[in-house]
Amino acid sequence: MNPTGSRSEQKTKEDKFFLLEKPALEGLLISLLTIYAAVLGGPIVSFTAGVGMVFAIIWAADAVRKISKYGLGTGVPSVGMFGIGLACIISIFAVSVNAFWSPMIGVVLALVIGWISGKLINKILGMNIPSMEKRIAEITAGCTLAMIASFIVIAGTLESTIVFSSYILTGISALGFIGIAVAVFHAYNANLGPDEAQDRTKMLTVLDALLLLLILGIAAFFMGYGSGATLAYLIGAGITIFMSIAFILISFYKFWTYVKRDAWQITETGLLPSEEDLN
Amino acid sequence: MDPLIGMGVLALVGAVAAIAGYTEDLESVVGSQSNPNSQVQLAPQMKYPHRLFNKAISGEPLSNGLAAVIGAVIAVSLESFYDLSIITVIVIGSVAAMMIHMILATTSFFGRISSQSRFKQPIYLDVFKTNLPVIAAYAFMTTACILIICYLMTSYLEIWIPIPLLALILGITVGSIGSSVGDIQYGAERLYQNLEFGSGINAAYSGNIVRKAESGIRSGVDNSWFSSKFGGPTTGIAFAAVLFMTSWITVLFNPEWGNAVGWIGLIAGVLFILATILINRFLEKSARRNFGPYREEEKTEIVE
Amino acid sequence: MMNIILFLIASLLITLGGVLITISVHLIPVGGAPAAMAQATGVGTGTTQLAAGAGLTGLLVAVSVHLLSGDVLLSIILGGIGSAIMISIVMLISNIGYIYGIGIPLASGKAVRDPMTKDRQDIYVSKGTEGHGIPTAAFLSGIVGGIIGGIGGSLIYSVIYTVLHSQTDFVFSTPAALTISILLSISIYFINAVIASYNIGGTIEGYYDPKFKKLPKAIIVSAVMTFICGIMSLFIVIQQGGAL
Repeated sequence: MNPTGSRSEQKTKEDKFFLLEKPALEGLLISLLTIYAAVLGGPIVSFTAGVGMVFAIIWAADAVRKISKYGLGTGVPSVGMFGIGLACIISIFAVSVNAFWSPMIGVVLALVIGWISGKLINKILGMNIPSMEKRIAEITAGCTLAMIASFIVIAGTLESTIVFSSYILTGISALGFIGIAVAVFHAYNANLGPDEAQDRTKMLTVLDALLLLLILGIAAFFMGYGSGATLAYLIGAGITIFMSIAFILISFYKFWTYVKRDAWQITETGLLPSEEDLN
Repeated sequence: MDPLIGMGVLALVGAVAAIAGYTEDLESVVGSQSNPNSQVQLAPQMKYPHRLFNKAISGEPLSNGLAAVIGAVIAVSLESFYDLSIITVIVIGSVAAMMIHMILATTSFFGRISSQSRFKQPIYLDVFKTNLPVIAAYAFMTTACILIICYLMTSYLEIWIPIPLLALILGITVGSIGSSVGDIQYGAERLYQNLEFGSGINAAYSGNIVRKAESGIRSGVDNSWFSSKFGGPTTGIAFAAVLFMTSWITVLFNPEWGNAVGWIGLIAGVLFILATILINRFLEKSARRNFGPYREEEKTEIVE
Repeated sequence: MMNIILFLIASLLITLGGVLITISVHLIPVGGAPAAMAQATGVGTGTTQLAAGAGLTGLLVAVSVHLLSGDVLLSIILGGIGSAIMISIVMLISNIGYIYGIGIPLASGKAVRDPMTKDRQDIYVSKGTEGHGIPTAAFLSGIVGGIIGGIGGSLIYSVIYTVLHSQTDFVFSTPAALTISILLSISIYFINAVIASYNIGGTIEGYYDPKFKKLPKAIIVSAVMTFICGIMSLFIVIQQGGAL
């Protein structure tokens, strides 16, 4: 997709180990760190898991952006739905295996299973998209981390009994499922076009992830209050709400500045551009 | 459950579903979401800049599923927080879903058009300001109707799925019906009204969409006026029919009364499917008879 | 410790369900975005989306029948019927849209004669398009696809639910078992729908389309992926049942 680079140059770029790329490294490290901070710190710092969720979504969305440039034939959302379908099963599996190690188990499993599925799709179905394995593995891993982080935002812990009773069985799992999927693919889908810019897409990803975090925080606060949660849990959920509102405003403002930078013309009203304008 | 109450609830579900399908289709038409979006997206590239609202949140099923789930989550959590009436929580949940939907629509509109700057497609702020409230209103209606159906189903039809999960299922279903049924009239007729009626859109005309309205320059609101006459109602009928026909099997032939009744329900379902096949065959034949072929049949048969 | 043979049977049944979903996506006539402009035969939406809509409708019917009667076989078959009803209504009303809204006859671009009714197709295809609407052969193919897909989704749900319910010391109630089973089956449904739609490249007319011959490839991929997912789902279920 890089018109100036030669084919071999592209190949080496795509063949690079995924951790050498900035979004992957950031997404993996920051989300793991913040998730463990929330696990160790207890429900009062559950908002740090929210930060981890945002970074995990940025990682997955970046991979969606890179793979969708090749044209999948079925639109951008399908790859997001594939990732979230795998991630949903893997994250619940990881939490069932072991509460403390679940983020690690989840990431490793997601990378392995995502890589296998990418390989199968690429080779057997004959899609022949360069680095499909790597990107699907990254999308699945990002979605899995985001899902596990959202467990903490709602449940305040990774103990499987509490996660099951407060996250999965209340139906908030549906929000995690579709919300993470939309946050992962919406940014690239909404910026699709020849003049798509990476920073604008990334800022929109941040905005989408924060919107999801806001809804999760509201649900955590009200549901926690209704079921008699501790004060620490409510404070954690309250911080999540205020933090996400503040950053939503900031990211929307930055997105708007990028739009003003990139758009050909922003006009209050007007007729269609004339023939002379177009040539 | 009393069968009469069941039938009454079913009728109510059908009526609400019809409204949900109608508003869902019109919402997607105002914003040019879903499949016809490919033409609206292509138009500036073919040197036809336009004043349509180009909103590509995602396919309709997923964006409607998200809106319904957000509404349901807010409604359910408010219900557990404070003892409010169901109508109140449905309204508050739908407002929250509507606001998230508005933000997604806004960012999609600005994002897509900024990504087309080399084709010199301007961002018209008045288009944004006049179309967004319409999109918000329709999104609110759709979400509220889906939530009403969810509450009816869980309380009266004895489907004990948590409401957010049920909302996800129904939201995806209404979206997939809206994008398959309602968008045809928008994509194949309204966007190409300058072409002769009664043929598919020649691929050579792709992107050459109509940009002038009955008066002035066309925007999304003009399209919803057109689609409200045919595309919207058919979507409403389709969604209502799907919910009504699938629930009807289990309400009228309730498997609770014994498995034999359940198997009669199966026969009823099969009969309905056979009826649709026959109606479809009749439609196909009558269309061919009335419209005729596009070109004469060659004298010599083609070797098959 | 759960009986290992039962575990294997359950995971193979889930795999079968996943493969059925993949087959169903190959059978449902979908034209993608061009069909919405009456440029291609089939329903005018994306494969994944239509299959998901139909499959979830079938799942809803299966769940309600299962709750009412407790009969697993009946709920699986009625799930298939529910899915087929959704697909048939969508196709019928789409055809009404094509005929009365746009004024075009139904025609397939891939077959000279309809394989079912032997009607001539090519002269009814308007200029510059690859067919439009859903002619009878595609319609029947879609209904069969709906039944198969609905059965596949309901099968996955029923297997997970039955295994979960058979655990003696399951800590949660019936709605809890329902929720987990539905969530896991929706996930598996989406995975298989996406695999199938990658195989057909987003559009297909039905069983007579040349792309249908690629089906075995998709079945391999779907079987492997669903088997992995099935084992993980069963493990979740058993772990939560406290039997392992």
